[in-house]
Amino acid sequence: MNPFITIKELKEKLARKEINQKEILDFYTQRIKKYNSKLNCVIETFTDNLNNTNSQIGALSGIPFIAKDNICQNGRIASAGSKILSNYKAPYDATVISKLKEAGAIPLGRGNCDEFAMGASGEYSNYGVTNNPWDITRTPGGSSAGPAAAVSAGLVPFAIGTETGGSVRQPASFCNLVGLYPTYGRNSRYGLIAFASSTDQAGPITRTVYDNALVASILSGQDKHDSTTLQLPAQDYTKDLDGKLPDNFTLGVIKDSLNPDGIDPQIIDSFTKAISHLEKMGAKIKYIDIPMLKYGVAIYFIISRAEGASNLSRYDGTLYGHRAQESTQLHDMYIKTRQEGFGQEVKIRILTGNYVLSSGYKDAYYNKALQARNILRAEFEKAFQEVTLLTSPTVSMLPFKLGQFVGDALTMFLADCFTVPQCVIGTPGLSLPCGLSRERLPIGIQFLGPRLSEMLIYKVAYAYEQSTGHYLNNPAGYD
Amino acid sequence: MKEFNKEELLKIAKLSALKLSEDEIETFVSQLRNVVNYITQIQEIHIAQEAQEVRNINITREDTVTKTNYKEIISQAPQKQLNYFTVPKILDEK
Repeated sequence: MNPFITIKELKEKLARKEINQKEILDFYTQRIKKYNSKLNCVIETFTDNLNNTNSQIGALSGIPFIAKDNICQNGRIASAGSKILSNYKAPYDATVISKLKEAGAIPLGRGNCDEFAMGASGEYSNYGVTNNPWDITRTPGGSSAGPAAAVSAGLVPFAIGTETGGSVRQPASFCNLVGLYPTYGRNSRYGLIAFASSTDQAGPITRTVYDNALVASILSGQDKHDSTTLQLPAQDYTKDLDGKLPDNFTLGVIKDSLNPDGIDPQIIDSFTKAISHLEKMGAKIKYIDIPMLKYGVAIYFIISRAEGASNLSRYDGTLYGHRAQESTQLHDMYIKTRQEGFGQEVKIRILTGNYVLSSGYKDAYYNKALQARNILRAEFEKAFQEVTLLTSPTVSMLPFKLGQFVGDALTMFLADCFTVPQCVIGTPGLSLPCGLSRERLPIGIQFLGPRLSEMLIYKVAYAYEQSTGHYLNNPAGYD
Repeated sequence: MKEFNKEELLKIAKLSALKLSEDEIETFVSQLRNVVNYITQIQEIHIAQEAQEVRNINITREDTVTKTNYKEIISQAPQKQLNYFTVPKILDEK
């Protein structure tokens, strides 16, 4: 079987009885076995599932997937890539997992990720660095590093990641895949190990736009276990994918996308070609200035670190997870447990978060960032009165060398300038392939829309994808 | 605003229930200083009257008791006695 087969094609094969569920599971399990030592993208493969086909009849019957390690899967370890949760067994399924199981999908394992989803390169996991299948000396992106690398190398047909500030779209872009950050509240956060609760969302990582729309439809919907989910029923994003752009479609190109100061020239080149292509397809192009965009990363930094520090205060060794031994006193146990259990980047983020929340600085940083978030949101809302969707490259640099930003994480995070603003304001964005660089490294384009515009985003992305075929490029050496 | 320094790092570490090694103190001071310098740019943003208010609404539900399998939860305790989580002593004997 072609390892780069899509979910859609797999479903057709199943329907024609050319393959059965067990053969599919065996196929992917073998592939993980063969290639995972090279990529380190899967922390655990659920081999006990192999004889357990899922008898649920649904849109994903018999389709295996892996979930990022910060998503609870009943009875399985959920370590969030951290030592502090290395022995934590999830006592329930996250809502996104139970929805996938109800749709017939089969959980095949846990995907490696940066500790507590705090990273952009997959280098901050307690379970080792994940490599990019396109070039194993480079990062697959992060923090959903394992999920993206696994789909890219054809070790699973799809994966579920989480995004707090680019963590689905950026690795999707670095691995020539499709990744969605949905409207905040579209998908339940129940069972996602929290990083920054006001921006965390689960999203699918797939090979094609159709597959992504299919999985995202299943994940969507209100959940009584998450009061921040929107009062909307589950959606069917696949129903309007006809390969055509919408009538009177105006695409807004974010002006900063073309700034040679800070964006790789090869990315600008691919992106510019994509814009011309969309124009030929009938899109009306407008150039849109979003002045607040330059503050996007700073606003995101403050809000996400503040919420992250608060969420991670619960890890103290009392109820579950790692506990430091030989403490004579309770407070000593907390401190030792956290000292031993958290990695460096997580500690830096906790410290930053508590700094911006601390007395004397809260107004200058945290409260100010919340107000700035209002202005950022207003600027995007204004832009969406002028254009149907906005577009930009997903990331400002090509997949970089592992270790390139050791000691200079700030520079690495600045490359998230086009993804984090959407997370801060909770509006949807989809990244998809728009070409390869000279050294055959993937480049991604993203389409951004107003709240609840997923259907429209998928329609446009599908039309662009089908008309260009960049998704057909696969990494060499995984046949 | 003054530069982020070691004294501030130690204060924040205490608030964060983190004890830092000498090596960590050295690297973290410079890394946090970079981050603080970077995020300070948001001071330039002019906040108009209409953007000042941060609106969030509370969503509540009935507080109904549901059955939970507490044994599964307690089985994950790092240390336990019967159905209780145990921890080192909270108060000093002095």
